[in-house]
Amino acid sequence: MHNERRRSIILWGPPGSGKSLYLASLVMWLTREPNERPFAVLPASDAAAAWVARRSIPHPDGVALVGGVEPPADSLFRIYSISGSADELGRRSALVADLYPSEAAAGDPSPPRLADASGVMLLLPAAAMAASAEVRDACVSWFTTTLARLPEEAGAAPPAVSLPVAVCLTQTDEVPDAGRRDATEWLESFGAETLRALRAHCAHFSVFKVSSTGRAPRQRGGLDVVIGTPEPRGVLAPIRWILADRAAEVAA
Amino acid sequence: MRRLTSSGSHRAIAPGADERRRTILLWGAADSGKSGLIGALRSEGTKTVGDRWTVDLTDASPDVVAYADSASLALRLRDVKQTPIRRPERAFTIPVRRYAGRTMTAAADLTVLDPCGELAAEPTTPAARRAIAAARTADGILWLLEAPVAGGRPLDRFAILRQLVAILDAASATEIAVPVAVALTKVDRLPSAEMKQLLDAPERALRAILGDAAFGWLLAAFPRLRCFGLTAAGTVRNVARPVGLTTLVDWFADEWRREEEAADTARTRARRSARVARVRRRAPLAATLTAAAAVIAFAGVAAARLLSQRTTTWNSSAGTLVPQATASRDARVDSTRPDSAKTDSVKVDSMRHDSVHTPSIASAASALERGDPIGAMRDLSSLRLADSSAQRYAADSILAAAAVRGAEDALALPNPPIDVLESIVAATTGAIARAHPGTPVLAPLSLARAAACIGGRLSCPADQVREDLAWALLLGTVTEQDQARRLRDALVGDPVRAP
Repeated sequence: MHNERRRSIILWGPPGSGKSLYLASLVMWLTREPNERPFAVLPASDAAAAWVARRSIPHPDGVALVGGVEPPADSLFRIYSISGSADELGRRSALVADLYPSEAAAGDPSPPRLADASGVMLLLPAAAMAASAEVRDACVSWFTTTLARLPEEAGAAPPAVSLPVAVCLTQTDEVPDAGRRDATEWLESFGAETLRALRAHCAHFSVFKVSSTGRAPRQRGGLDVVIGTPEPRGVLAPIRWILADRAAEVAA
Repeated sequence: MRRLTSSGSHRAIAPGADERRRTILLWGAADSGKSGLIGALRSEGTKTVGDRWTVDLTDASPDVVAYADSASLALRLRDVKQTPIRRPERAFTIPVRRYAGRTMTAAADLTVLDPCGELAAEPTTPAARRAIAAARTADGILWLLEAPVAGGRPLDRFAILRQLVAILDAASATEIAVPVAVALTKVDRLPSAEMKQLLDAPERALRAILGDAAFGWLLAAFPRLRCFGLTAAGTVRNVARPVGLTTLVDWFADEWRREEEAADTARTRARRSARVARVRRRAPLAATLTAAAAVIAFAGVAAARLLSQRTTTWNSSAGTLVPQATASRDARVDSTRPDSAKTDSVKVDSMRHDSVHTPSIASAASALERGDPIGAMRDLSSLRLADSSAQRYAADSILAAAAVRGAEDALALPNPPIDVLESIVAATTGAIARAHPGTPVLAPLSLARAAACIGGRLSCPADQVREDLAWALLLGTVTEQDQARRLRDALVGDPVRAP
């Protein structure tokens, strides 16, 4: 009962980094991964549910992705851990964290819940950054600026950000050799300052490769269509890492 | 208890006064099988053998009786004639009873929240929100989903998500802690092998139909989820022989029994801890008196003044000094004055304040009566009464009622005022410390404090909250015990605060 604050994770990324698609994958398309504890994600409001649901529409070949869907203000998603068998109280799930997507851009004030967060996920669109130098520069600039805005522990020696920071490279399904790439080296390939900034600011960080749909969408009649049912890859890994990091800290 | 008569009607014979009525909330979209379920329960009422759940329409309104009868008829004539079902427009509650042969073995209430399935179709309207809020107080939820047939309409995952979010939102909860059964209905329309598979492993079937993500929503929102396969009609023509119905409703009864057993265990623990507490309370009392003597011996002038006040008594619980004669003469004093002045100036003060509001037991009772429990508590808190006096007993009894009412009022607000809840905790904590272990007033006091702590998410010690709930369960009236159970469920259902 004592002052235990529910864990909250901030999901942050520049425009076009794939936040809404990532959330849609968490809510709508999660599949069970072998040897991993399952999670379920629920929107906390009807507006948030409608937002992620509008991100895709059924298509004869699979699922068509719909862009330009404006997120509702203050949307919140809840992450539940699911267990295969019931505990002694007969329960099979437990709320483990709140997930707050943030639309704060580089010059905007920091997300309001950042100071109390248990972890931050920073999304960077790997495919778009690889394809366009302009996008890469903008995203790297956003990334380094954002790292500098993370709350630092007062009086701590650098790296002074103790918050776990999960850097998620999205759209990895669009890069053919994504499976073979090392995530950290991939991030560094967009500019050495990315990793330097991470090491300078963050005591706990990790880089992840994420695919919200599992495979790259194809053009069908002017629509981006994921053939078959989307099978997200790596979308839960950053959440698991943040929760494990916090759990380890609490245990310590 | 009621008995089924040969004519099919029900006759009350001896309703148990302390029988706890549990409520199952029936939820489902249009065509999900709600009417089939009611019809099956109605049809089961005509049997006199076997284990079965039936619906008791003795006190039901005519539209509900017509609904159950037409639903039962539609089941029986399902392959013969299209029978219109006359659905009531509003939610209704009817008793359901379990029989083993002619003997009634269990009973519950069934609330059909949305007979026409309109709320499920648009669950975010204000009317829907008001109705769905009933989920907050139900003891179980039965959610019906129509099992999809090959080539037919698939289950609408987004509609399910919206309904789930609406239920959680209306309950102001992150999960529904009561048992929830999700039943795939109308399985008799499936090929027989598929039907058998579904009845044998309904959870696997539901997961296959909805997908991992959507099945995860259900498990997330309903931690005590259980899946069932159900056919209200059965597989025999021209007769309703439901399959899976008894197992389904029995599961709720089993879950409730398990809850009660857990509560019994908690009661036993509370009794044991009460015995220990009685013994332990003597030690702090002695320690307090010793400490008081030490303070008196070493506190210089102040101690000397205390020693000179022969008519005063140490109150070991609150650590205050109370004049016995004054307390019995008149309980009203001016709380704004220093303690040393209060003891000798009661009459003067009461005369001075007669023209304005003067806190007293009577004024507190009056405030409570006119629906101002916080005002009543404020009045009581400004009184200074001896612990052992009759006035103190009366004041604490009013305080208990005011605290319960105040907590109830505060928690009914969209944003419960934390300062009010904290004042309830503070007031009840003092009274609980004063009360002798095992006295009836402990139940409402403990209940009010637990409600404020749990509902307001205050930083109360977990052991204290657990003990409060145990006292309410041990000493409370049936209503207070029910409230304590709900609070305990809310506490268990809150993963952040679950002890």
